[in-house]
Amino acid sequence: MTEDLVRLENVVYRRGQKTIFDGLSLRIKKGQTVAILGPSGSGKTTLLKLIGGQLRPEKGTVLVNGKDVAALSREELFKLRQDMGMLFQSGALFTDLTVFENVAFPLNVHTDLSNDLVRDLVRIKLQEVGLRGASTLYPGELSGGMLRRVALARAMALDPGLIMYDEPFTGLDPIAMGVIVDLIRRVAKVYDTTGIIVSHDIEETANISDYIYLISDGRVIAEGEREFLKKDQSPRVRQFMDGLPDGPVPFHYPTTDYAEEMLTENQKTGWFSFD
Amino acid sequence: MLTLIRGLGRFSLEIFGTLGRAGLLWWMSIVRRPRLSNLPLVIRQIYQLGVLSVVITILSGFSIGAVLALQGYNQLAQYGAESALGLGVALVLVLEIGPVVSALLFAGRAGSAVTAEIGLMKATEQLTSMEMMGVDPLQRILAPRFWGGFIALPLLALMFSVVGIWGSAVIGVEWLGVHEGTFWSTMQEGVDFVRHVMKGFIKSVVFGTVITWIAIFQGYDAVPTSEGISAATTRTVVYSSVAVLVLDFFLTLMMFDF
Repeated sequence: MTEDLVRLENVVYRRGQKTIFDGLSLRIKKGQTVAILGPSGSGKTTLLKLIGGQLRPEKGTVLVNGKDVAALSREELFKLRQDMGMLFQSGALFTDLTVFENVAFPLNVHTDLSNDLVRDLVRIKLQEVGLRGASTLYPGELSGGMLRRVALARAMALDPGLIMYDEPFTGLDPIAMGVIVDLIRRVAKVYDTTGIIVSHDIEETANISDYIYLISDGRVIAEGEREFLKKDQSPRVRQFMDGLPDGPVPFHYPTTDYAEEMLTENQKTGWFSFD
Repeated sequence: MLTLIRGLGRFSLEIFGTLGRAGLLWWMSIVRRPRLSNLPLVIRQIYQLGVLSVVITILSGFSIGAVLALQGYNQLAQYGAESALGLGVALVLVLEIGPVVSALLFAGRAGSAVTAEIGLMKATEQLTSMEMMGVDPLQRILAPRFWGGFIALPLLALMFSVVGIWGSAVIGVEWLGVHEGTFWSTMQEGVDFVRHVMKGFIKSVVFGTVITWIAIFQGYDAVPTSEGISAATTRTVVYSSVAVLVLDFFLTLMMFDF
Protein backbone atom coordinates (compact mmCIF):
# COMPACT_ATOMS: atom_id res chain seq x y z
CA MET A 1 0.00 0.00 0.00
CA THR A 2 1.34 3.42 -0.93
CA GLU A 3 2.23 5.65 1.95
CA ASP A 4 0.31 8.89 2.59
CA LEU A 5 2.41 12.00 2.01
CA VAL A 6 -0.27 14.38 3.24
CA ARG A 7 -3.07 13.57 5.63
CA LEU A 8 -5.68 15.87 7.13
CA GLU A 9 -7.75 14.51 9.97
CA ASN A 10 -10.91 16.26 11.18
CA VAL A 11 -9.48 19.70 10.52
CA VAL A 12 -11.49 22.61 11.85
CA TYR A 13 -10.44 26.09 10.77
CA ARG A 14 -12.26 29.37 11.32
CA ARG A 15 -11.54 32.84 10.03
CA GLY A 16 -13.25 35.24 12.39
CA GLN A 17 -16.84 34.08 12.70
CA LYS A 18 -16.75 32.13 9.43
CA THR A 19 -16.07 28.42 9.53
CA ILE A 20 -13.87 27.50 6.59
CA PHE A 21 -13.34 23.81 7.44
CA ASP A 22 -15.58 21.84 9.70
CA GLY A 23 -14.04 18.43 10.20
CA LEU A 24 -12.21 18.12 6.87
CA SER A 25 -10.35 14.87 6.29
CA LEU A 26 -8.39 13.80 3.25
CA ARG A 27 -5.35 11.74 2.26
CA ILE A 28 -2.85 12.26 -0.50
CA LYS A 29 -0.66 9.34 -1.42
CA LYS A 30 2.98 9.64 -2.46
CA GLY A 31 3.42 10.06 -6.21
CA GLN A 32 -0.24 10.91 -6.82
CA THR A 33 -1.55 14.05 -8.47
CA VAL A 34 -4.61 15.04 -6.51
CA ALA A 35 -7.11 17.73 -7.45
CA ILE A 36 -8.92 19.75 -4.83
CA LEU A 37 -11.95 21.20 -6.55
CA GLY A 38 -14.58 23.44 -5.11
CA PRO A 39 -16.46 26.67 -5.68
CA SER A 40 -14.76 30.03 -5.04
CA GLY A 41 -14.54 30.75 -1.35
CA SER A 42 -14.67 27.08 -0.36
CA GLY A 43 -11.24 27.33 1.26
CA LYS A 44 -9.06 25.65 -1.37
CA THR A 45 -6.14 28.05 -0.98
CA THR A 46 -6.58 27.93 2.79
CA LEU A 47 -6.14 24.18 2.54
CA LEU A 48 -2.76 24.65 0.84
CA LYS A 49 -1.76 27.13 3.53
CA LEU A 50 -2.65 24.58 6.21
CA ILE A 51 -0.55 21.93 4.48
CA GLY A 52 2.34 24.39 4.10
CA GLY A 53 2.09 25.38 7.76
CA GLN A 54 1.27 29.02 7.07
CA LEU A 55 -1.96 28.53 8.99
CA ARG A 56 -2.66 26.31 11.95
CA PRO A 57 -5.91 24.42 12.37
CA GLU A 58 -8.10 25.12 15.36
CA LYS A 59 -8.73 21.40 15.75
CA GLY A 60 -7.53 18.29 14.02
CA THR A 61 -4.15 17.46 12.55
CA VAL A 62 -2.31 18.14 9.32
CA LEU A 63 0.37 15.54 8.69
CA VAL A 64 3.01 15.97 6.00
CA ASN A 65 5.48 13.13 5.68
CA GLY A 66 4.17 11.89 9.01
CA LYS A 67 4.96 15.16 10.78
CA ASP A 68 2.29 17.22 12.49
CA VAL A 69 2.81 20.56 10.73
CA ALA A 70 1.18 22.62 13.49
CA ALA A 71 3.50 21.14 16.13
CA LEU A 72 6.72 22.03 14.30
CA SER A 73 8.96 24.89 15.39
CA ARG A 74 9.64 27.69 12.90
CA GLU A 75 13.02 26.17 12.00
CA GLU A 76 11.58 22.66 11.59
CA LEU A 77 8.81 24.05 9.43
CA PHE A 78 11.26 25.85 7.14
CA LYS A 79 13.24 22.61 6.89
CA LEU A 80 10.10 20.69 5.91
CA ARG A 81 9.20 23.31 3.31
CA GLN A 82 12.47 22.72 1.50
CA ASP A 83 10.85 19.52 0.26
CA MET A 84 7.75 21.41 -0.91
CA GLY A 85 7.30 23.58 -3.93
CA MET A 86 4.41 25.91 -4.46
CA LEU A 87 3.14 27.50 -7.63
CA PHE A 88 1.24 30.64 -6.75
CA GLN A 89 -1.62 31.98 -8.79
CA SER A 90 0.27 35.24 -9.34
CA GLY A 91 3.60 33.50 -9.83
CA ALA A 92 4.96 35.48 -6.85
CA LEU A 93 8.34 35.88 -8.50
CA PHE A 94 10.83 38.28 -6.95
CA THR A 95 10.45 41.38 -9.06
CA ASP A 96 13.97 42.67 -8.41
CA LEU A 97 15.55 39.47 -9.72
CA THR A 98 15.81 38.19 -13.28
CA VAL A 99 14.20 34.94 -14.39
CA PHE A 100 17.55 33.18 -13.96
CA GLU A 101 18.10 34.63 -10.48
CA ASN A 102 14.57 33.70 -9.43
CA VAL A 103 15.10 30.06 -10.30
CA ALA A 104 18.58 30.07 -8.79
CA PHE A 105 17.31 31.61 -5.54
CA PRO A 106 16.33 28.41 -3.66
CA LEU A 107 19.49 26.68 -4.87
CA ASN A 108 21.70 29.52 -3.67
CA VAL A 109 19.98 29.73 -0.30
CA HIS A 110 19.64 26.05 0.52
CA THR A 111 22.62 24.37 -1.11
CA ASP A 112 26.40 24.75 -1.17
CA LEU A 113 26.61 23.98 -4.87
CA SER A 114 29.22 25.78 -6.94
CA ASN A 115 28.10 28.66 -9.13
CA ASP A 116 28.78 26.56 -12.24
CA LEU A 117 26.54 23.77 -11.03
CA VAL A 118 23.77 26.16 -10.00
CA ARG A 119 23.96 27.77 -13.43
CA ASP A 120 23.64 24.37 -15.15
CA LEU A 121 20.72 23.32 -12.94
CA VAL A 122 18.88 26.58 -13.60
CA ARG A 123 19.43 26.13 -17.34
CA ILE A 124 17.99 22.60 -17.12
CA LYS A 125 14.89 23.81 -15.26
CA LEU A 126 14.36 26.73 -17.62
CA GLN A 127 14.82 24.47 -20.63
CA GLU A 128 12.10 22.19 -19.24
CA VAL A 129 9.62 25.05 -19.07
CA GLY A 130 10.80 26.39 -22.43
CA LEU A 131 12.13 29.69 -21.11
CA ARG A 132 15.91 29.30 -21.22
CA GLY A 133 15.90 32.13 -23.74
CA ALA A 134 14.16 34.44 -21.26
CA SER A 135 16.68 34.00 -18.46
CA THR A 136 17.84 37.62 -18.48
CA LEU A 137 14.34 39.11 -18.43
CA TYR A 138 12.67 40.52 -15.33
CA PRO A 139 9.22 39.31 -14.19
CA GLY A 140 7.71 42.63 -15.28
CA GLU A 141 8.64 41.77 -18.88
CA LEU A 142 6.83 38.41 -18.91
CA SER A 143 3.27 37.43 -19.83
CA GLY A 144 0.98 35.70 -17.31
CA GLY A 145 1.66 32.25 -18.76
CA MET A 146 5.43 32.82 -18.81
CA LEU A 147 5.34 34.04 -15.21
CA ARG A 148 3.71 30.81 -14.15
CA ARG A 149 6.21 28.73 -16.10
CA VAL A 150 9.12 30.49 -14.41
CA ALA A 151 7.39 30.04 -11.07
CA LEU A 152 7.06 26.34 -11.83
CA ALA A 153 10.76 26.13 -12.69
CA ARG A 154 11.53 27.82 -9.37
CA ALA A 155 9.16 25.48 -7.49
CA MET A 156 11.01 22.52 -9.06
CA ALA A 157 14.48 23.92 -8.43
CA LEU A 158 15.18 21.76 -5.38
CA ASP A 159 13.36 18.73 -6.84
CA PRO A 160 10.81 18.68 -4.01
CA GLY A 161 8.72 15.65 -3.17
CA LEU A 162 5.52 17.70 -3.14
CA ILE A 163 4.41 20.53 -5.39
CA MET A 164 1.25 22.49 -4.63
CA TYR A 165 -0.44 24.35 -7.45
CA ASP A 166 -2.72 27.22 -6.45
CA GLU A 167 -5.19 27.91 -9.28
CA PRO A 168 -2.57 27.22 -11.97
CA PHE A 169 -4.93 27.80 -14.91
CA THR A 170 -6.73 30.97 -13.85
CA GLY A 171 -6.50 33.84 -16.31
CA LEU A 172 -4.51 31.99 -18.96
CA ASP A 173 -5.22 31.87 -22.68
CA PRO A 174 -5.86 28.38 -24.15
CA ILE A 175 -2.27 27.99 -25.41
CA ALA A 176 -0.69 29.02 -22.09
CA MET A 177 -3.17 26.78 -20.27
CA GLY A 178 -2.24 23.84 -22.47
CA VAL A 179 1.45 24.48 -21.75
CA ILE A 180 0.89 24.53 -17.98
CA VAL A 181 -1.30 21.40 -18.10
CA ASP A 182 1.40 19.61 -20.05
CA LEU A 183 4.14 20.81 -17.70
CA ILE A 184 2.30 19.68 -14.57
CA ARG A 185 1.71 16.30 -16.13
CA ARG A 186 5.38 15.99 -17.12
CA VAL A 187 6.71 17.11 -13.74
CA ALA A 188 4.63 14.43 -12.01
CA LYS A 189 5.78 11.75 -14.44
CA VAL A 190 9.46 12.60 -14.80
CA TYR A 191 10.23 13.53 -11.20
CA ASP A 192 7.66 11.21 -9.56
CA THR A 193 6.46 14.24 -7.63
CA THR A 194 3.30 14.32 -5.56
CA GLY A 195 1.06 17.12 -6.75
CA ILE A 196 -1.87 18.93 -5.20
CA ILE A 197 -3.81 21.05 -7.65
CA VAL A 198 -6.30 23.49 -6.23
CA SER A 199 -8.60 24.77 -8.91
CA HIS A 200 -12.08 25.43 -10.14
CA ASP A 201 -11.22 24.57 -13.73
CA ILE A 202 -12.80 21.12 -13.73
CA GLU A 203 -11.89 19.81 -17.14
CA GLU A 204 -8.19 20.67 -17.18
CA THR A 205 -7.62 19.69 -13.58
CA ALA A 206 -9.52 16.43 -13.79
CA ASN A 207 -7.57 15.44 -16.91
CA ILE A 208 -4.23 15.44 -15.13
CA SER A 209 -5.34 14.18 -11.72
CA ASP A 210 -5.25 10.67 -10.35
CA TYR A 211 -7.78 11.45 -7.67
CA ILE A 212 -10.25 14.26 -7.01
CA TYR A 213 -11.64 15.74 -3.83
CA LEU A 214 -14.61 18.04 -4.11
CA ILE A 215 -14.96 20.37 -1.15
CA SER A 216 -17.82 22.63 -0.19
CA ASP A 217 -19.15 24.04 3.07
CA GLY A 218 -15.95 23.11 4.87
CA ARG A 219 -16.12 19.39 4.11
CA VAL A 220 -15.29 16.87 1.43
CA ILE A 221 -18.62 16.34 -0.33
CA ALA A 222 -17.33 13.84 -2.87
CA GLU A 223 -14.12 12.06 -3.74
CA GLY A 224 -12.94 9.60 -6.29
CA GLU A 225 -11.52 9.27 -9.74
CA ARG A 226 -12.73 11.44 -12.59
CA GLU A 227 -15.26 9.03 -14.01
CA PHE A 228 -16.70 8.33 -10.58
CA LEU A 229 -17.41 12.03 -10.01
CA LYS A 230 -19.02 12.35 -13.42
CA LYS A 231 -21.58 9.77 -12.39
CA ASP A 232 -22.27 11.17 -8.92
CA GLN A 233 -25.85 12.45 -8.89
CA SER A 234 -25.90 14.41 -5.60
CA PRO A 235 -27.11 18.00 -6.21
CA ARG A 236 -23.98 19.64 -4.84
CA VAL A 237 -21.65 17.58 -7.01
CA ARG A 238 -23.84 18.05 -10.07
CA GLN A 239 -24.08 21.83 -9.59
CA PHE A 240 -20.31 22.16 -9.52
CA MET A 241 -19.43 19.58 -12.17
CA ASP A 242 -22.08 20.91 -14.59
CA GLY A 243 -21.48 24.58 -13.78
CA LEU A 244 -25.07 25.39 -12.79
CA PRO A 245 -25.51 29.00 -11.62
CA ASP A 246 -28.04 28.21 -8.91
CA GLY A 247 -28.54 25.25 -6.65
CA PRO A 248 -27.25 24.19 -3.22
CA VAL A 249 -24.69 26.98 -3.63
CA PRO A 250 -27.15 29.88 -4.09
CA PHE A 251 -26.73 32.56 -6.73
CA HIS A 252 -27.75 35.29 -4.26
CA TYR A 253 -25.71 36.36 -1.29
CA PRO A 254 -27.88 35.71 1.82
CA THR A 255 -30.19 38.67 2.42
CA THR A 256 -33.78 39.59 3.22
CA ASP A 257 -36.74 38.81 0.98
CA TYR A 258 -36.48 40.76 -2.29
CA ALA A 259 -40.17 41.72 -2.63
CA GLU A 260 -40.43 42.66 1.03
CA GLU A 261 -37.35 44.89 0.79
CA MET A 262 -38.57 46.62 -2.38
CA LEU A 263 -41.91 47.41 -0.74
CA THR A 264 -40.51 48.65 2.54
CA GLU A 265 -40.92 52.43 2.74
CA ASN A 266 -38.14 53.30 5.15
CA GLN A 267 -35.12 51.78 3.57
CA LYS A 268 -32.39 51.16 6.10
CA THR A 269 -29.83 51.05 3.36
CA GLY A 270 -30.40 54.72 2.55
CA TRP A 271 -29.83 54.14 -1.15
CA PHE A 272 -33.29 55.34 -2.13
CA SER A 273 -36.55 56.42 -0.63
CA PHE A 274 -40.19 56.45 -1.75
CA ASP A 275 -40.90 59.73 0.06
CA MET B 1 -20.82 56.03 28.55
CA LEU B 2 -20.64 52.30 27.86
CA THR B 3 -19.82 53.04 24.22
CA LEU B 4 -17.03 55.35 25.32
CA ILE B 5 -15.52 52.72 27.62
CA ARG B 6 -15.87 50.09 24.93
CA GLY B 7 -14.22 52.37 22.38
CA LEU B 8 -11.40 53.15 24.79
CA GLY B 9 -10.90 49.46 25.46
CA ARG B 10 -10.82 48.64 21.77
CA PHE B 11 -8.37 51.47 21.10
CA SER B 12 -6.08 50.31 23.93
CA LEU B 13 -6.18 46.71 22.70
CA GLU B 14 -5.30 47.88 19.21
CA ILE B 15 -2.37 49.98 20.46
CA PHE B 16 -0.96 47.21 22.66
CA GLY B 17 -1.58 44.64 19.94
CA THR B 18 0.37 46.75 17.44
CA LEU B 19 3.19 47.34 19.91
CA GLY B 20 3.28 43.62 20.68
CA ARG B 21 3.50 42.71 17.00
CA ALA B 22 6.17 45.35 16.41
CA GLY B 23 8.18 44.05 19.38
CA LEU B 24 7.86 40.48 18.19
CA LEU B 25 8.98 41.48 14.72
CA TRP B 26 11.95 43.27 16.24
CA TRP B 27 12.90 40.17 18.21
CA MET B 28 12.34 37.65 15.44
CA SER B 29 14.03 39.51 12.63
CA ILE B 30 16.72 41.62 14.21
CA VAL B 31 17.81 40.67 17.69
CA ARG B 32 17.36 36.92 17.70
CA ARG B 33 19.92 35.73 15.19
CA PRO B 34 21.99 38.18 13.19
CA ARG B 35 23.66 36.26 10.36
CA LEU B 36 27.00 37.07 8.81
CA SER B 37 25.88 35.44 5.57
CA ASN B 38 23.44 38.34 5.15
CA LEU B 39 26.32 40.83 4.88
CA PRO B 40 26.04 41.28 1.06
CA LEU B 41 22.32 41.99 1.51
CA VAL B 42 23.11 44.56 4.22
CA ILE B 43 25.67 46.25 1.96
CA ARG B 44 23.06 46.41 -0.80
CA GLN B 45 20.64 48.08 1.61
CA ILE B 46 23.27 50.56 2.74
CA TYR B 47 23.53 51.51 -0.92
CA GLN B 48 19.75 51.66 -1.41
CA LEU B 49 18.99 53.57 1.76
CA GLY B 50 22.22 55.48 2.32
CA VAL B 51 24.11 56.11 -0.90
CA LEU B 52 20.95 56.99 -2.82
CA SER B 53 20.10 59.54 -0.10
CA VAL B 54 23.46 61.31 -0.39
CA VAL B 55 22.35 63.87 -2.98
CA ILE B 56 19.34 65.17 -1.01
CA THR B 57 21.46 65.13 2.17
CA ILE B 58 24.19 67.23 0.57
CA LEU B 59 21.76 69.68 -1.01
CA SER B 60 19.78 70.09 2.22
CA GLY B 61 22.90 70.25 4.40
CA PHE B 62 24.48 72.94 2.26
CA SER B 63 21.29 75.00 2.13
CA ILE B 64 20.69 74.82 5.86
CA GLY B 65 24.34 75.63 6.63
CA ALA B 66 24.13 78.63 4.31
CA VAL B 67 20.89 79.86 5.90
CA LEU B 68 22.32 79.42 9.39
CA ALA B 69 25.33 81.51 8.37
CA LEU B 70 23.12 84.28 6.99
CA GLN B 71 20.82 84.40 10.01
CA GLY B 72 23.61 83.87 12.52
CA TYR B 73 25.74 86.62 11.00
CA ASN B 74 22.78 89.01 11.08
CA GLN B 75 22.25 88.49 14.80
CA LEU B 76 25.89 88.21 15.88
CA ALA B 77 26.97 91.28 13.93
CA GLN B 78 24.66 93.40 16.08
CA TYR B 79 26.87 92.62 19.07
CA GLY B 80 30.11 92.54 17.13
CA ALA B 81 30.35 88.80 17.77
CA GLU B 82 30.46 87.55 14.18
CA SER B 83 33.71 85.78 15.00
CA ALA B 84 31.59 83.22 16.91
CA LEU B 85 29.69 82.33 13.72
CA GLY B 86 31.71 79.18 13.00
CA LEU B 87 31.30 77.86 16.51
CA GLY B 88 27.58 78.61 16.67
CA VAL B 89 26.78 77.04 13.34
CA ALA B 90 28.90 73.96 14.04
CA LEU B 91 27.28 73.31 17.43
CA VAL B 92 23.75 73.76 16.10
CA LEU B 93 24.47 71.45 13.18
CA VAL B 94 26.33 68.72 15.03
CA LEU B 95 24.01 68.58 18.04
CA GLU B 96 20.57 69.24 16.62
CA ILE B 97 19.98 70.08 13.01
CA GLY B 98 22.31 67.49 11.51
CA PRO B 99 20.80 64.44 13.26
CA VAL B 100 17.20 65.72 13.23
CA VAL B 101 16.88 67.06 9.68
CA SER B 102 18.81 64.17 8.14
CA ALA B 103 16.51 61.79 10.07
CA LEU B 104 13.42 63.58 8.73
CA LEU B 105 14.82 63.43 5.19
CA PHE B 106 15.69 59.78 5.70
CA ALA B 107 12.16 58.99 6.92
CA GLY B 108 10.69 60.67 3.85
CA ARG B 109 12.99 59.13 1.28
CA ALA B 110 14.26 55.81 2.61
CA GLY B 111 11.66 54.94 5.27
CA SER B 112 8.73 55.35 2.91
CA ALA B 113 10.56 53.33 0.23
CA VAL B 114 11.19 50.46 2.66
CA THR B 115 7.54 50.37 3.75
CA ALA B 116 6.23 50.48 0.18
CA GLU B 117 8.68 47.82 -0.99
CA ILE B 118 7.89 45.38 1.84
CA GLY B 119 4.16 46.11 1.58
CA LEU B 120 4.21 45.39 -2.15
CA MET B 121 6.22 42.22 -1.63
CA LYS B 122 3.52 41.16 0.81
CA ALA B 123 0.69 42.09 -1.56
CA THR B 124 2.26 40.19 -4.47
CA GLU B 125 2.87 37.10 -2.30
CA GLN B 126 6.65 37.40 -2.62
CA LEU B 127 7.08 37.11 1.15
CA THR B 128 4.74 34.11 1.27
CA SER B 129 6.55 32.41 -1.61
CA MET B 130 9.83 32.95 0.22
CA GLU B 131 8.37 31.36 3.35
CA MET B 132 7.10 28.44 1.31
CA MET B 133 10.61 27.93 -0.03
CA GLY B 134 11.82 27.51 3.51
CA VAL B 135 13.47 30.94 3.58
CA ASP B 136 12.64 33.20 6.49
CA PRO B 137 11.68 36.64 5.09
CA LEU B 138 12.32 38.16 8.50
CA GLN B 139 15.98 37.21 8.17
CA ARG B 140 16.29 37.67 4.44
CA ILE B 141 14.24 40.81 3.74
CA LEU B 142 13.58 42.65 6.98
CA ALA B 143 16.84 42.26 8.90
CA PRO B 144 19.15 43.54 6.10
CA ARG B 145 16.92 46.60 5.67
CA PHE B 146 17.07 47.29 9.36
CA TRP B 147 20.85 47.05 9.55
CA GLY B 148 21.17 49.05 6.33
CA GLY B 149 19.17 51.93 7.83
CA PHE B 150 20.85 51.59 11.20
CA ILE B 151 24.27 52.07 9.59
CA ALA B 152 23.31 54.54 6.87
CA LEU B 153 21.53 57.24 8.86
CA PRO B 154 24.37 58.13 11.30
CA LEU B 155 26.74 58.42 8.33
CA LEU B 156 24.25 60.61 6.48
CA ALA B 157 23.83 62.78 9.57
CA LEU B 158 27.61 63.27 9.81
CA MET B 159 27.72 64.11 6.13
CA PHE B 160 24.87 66.57 6.61
CA SER B 161 26.74 68.37 9.40
CA VAL B 162 30.02 68.49 7.48
CA VAL B 163 28.38 69.84 4.32
CA GLY B 164 26.35 72.27 6.45
CA ILE B 165 29.52 73.63 8.04
CA TRP B 166 31.06 73.96 4.60
CA GLY B 167 27.94 75.81 3.37
CA SER B 168 28.14 78.20 6.31
CA ALA B 169 31.85 78.78 5.62
CA VAL B 170 31.14 79.57 1.98
CA ILE B 171 28.52 82.15 3.01
CA GLY B 172 30.15 83.42 6.20
CA VAL B 173 33.78 83.59 5.12
CA GLU B 174 33.71 83.93 1.36
CA TRP B 175 30.68 86.17 1.05
CA LEU B 176 30.03 87.99 4.32
CA GLY B 177 33.71 88.42 5.09
CA VAL B 178 34.08 86.75 8.50
CA HIS B 179 37.78 86.21 9.17
CA GLU B 180 38.66 82.72 8.01
CA GLY B 181 41.11 81.94 10.80
CA THR B 182 38.63 83.05 13.47
CA PHE B 183 35.79 81.14 11.85
CA TRP B 184 37.66 77.82 11.97
CA SER B 185 39.64 78.33 15.18
CA THR B 186 36.59 79.17 17.33
CA MET B 187 34.97 76.04 15.94
CA GLN B 188 38.04 73.94 16.70
CA GLU B 189 38.24 75.42 20.18
CA GLY B 190 34.56 75.06 21.11
CA VAL B 191 33.43 71.82 19.50
CA ASP B 192 34.39 68.81 21.57
CA PHE B 193 34.40 65.35 20.03
CA VAL B 194 32.93 63.52 23.02
CA ARG B 195 30.63 66.22 24.38
CA HIS B 196 29.22 67.33 21.05
CA VAL B 197 30.02 65.16 18.03
CA MET B 198 29.44 61.85 19.82
CA LYS B 199 26.19 63.02 21.36
CA GLY B 200 24.89 64.07 17.97
CA PHE B 201 26.05 60.74 16.59
CA ILE B 202 24.21 58.82 19.34
CA LYS B 203 21.06 60.72 18.48
CA SER B 204 21.29 59.72 14.84
CA VAL B 205 21.91 56.08 15.81
CA VAL B 206 18.70 56.13 17.88
CA PHE B 207 16.80 57.86 15.07
CA GLY B 208 18.10 55.34 12.52
CA THR B 209 16.96 52.46 14.72
CA VAL B 210 13.50 53.89 15.30
CA ILE B 211 12.83 54.97 11.70
CA THR B 212 13.86 51.67 10.12
CA TRP B 213 11.96 49.72 12.76
CA ILE B 214 8.80 51.73 12.07
CA ALA B 215 9.33 51.42 8.30
CA ILE B 216 9.82 47.65 8.21
CA PHE B 217 7.00 47.03 10.68
CA GLN B 218 4.55 49.21 8.77
CA GLY B 219 5.45 47.43 5.53
CA TYR B 220 5.17 43.96 7.04
CA ASP B 221 1.95 44.80 8.89
CA ALA B 222 0.35 46.62 5.95
CA VAL B 223 -3.00 45.52 4.61
CA PRO B 224 -1.97 44.01 1.26
CA THR B 225 -4.04 46.31 -0.95
CA SER B 226 -3.15 49.56 -2.72
CA GLU B 227 -5.00 51.57 -0.04
CA GLY B 228 -3.31 49.57 2.71
CA ILE B 229 0.17 50.18 1.33
CA SER B 230 -0.55 53.85 0.77
CA ALA B 231 -1.77 54.22 4.36
CA ALA B 232 1.24 52.30 5.71
CA THR B 233 3.66 54.52 3.80
CA THR B 234 1.99 57.63 5.15
CA ARG B 235 2.10 56.19 8.69
CA THR B 236 5.82 55.51 8.34
CA VAL B 237 6.60 59.12 7.47
CA VAL B 238 4.24 60.58 10.09
CA TYR B 239 5.19 58.25 12.96
CA SER B 240 8.91 58.47 12.17
CA SER B 241 8.90 62.27 11.99
CA VAL B 242 6.98 62.64 15.24
CA ALA B 243 9.14 59.99 16.93
CA VAL B 244 12.33 61.79 15.84
CA LEU B 245 11.18 65.15 17.21
CA VAL B 246 9.89 63.73 20.50
CA LEU B 247 12.93 61.51 21.00
CA ASP B 248 15.21 64.45 20.25
CA PHE B 249 13.76 66.28 23.22
CA PHE B 250 14.25 63.36 25.59
CA LEU B 251 17.72 62.52 24.31
CA THR B 252 18.79 66.13 24.72
CA LEU B 253 17.36 66.11 28.23
CA MET B 254 19.20 62.92 29.10
CA MET B 255 22.56 63.70 27.54
CA PHE B 256 23.04 67.24 28.77
CA ASP B 257 22.98 68.72 32.27
CA PHE B 258 20.28 71.30 32.79
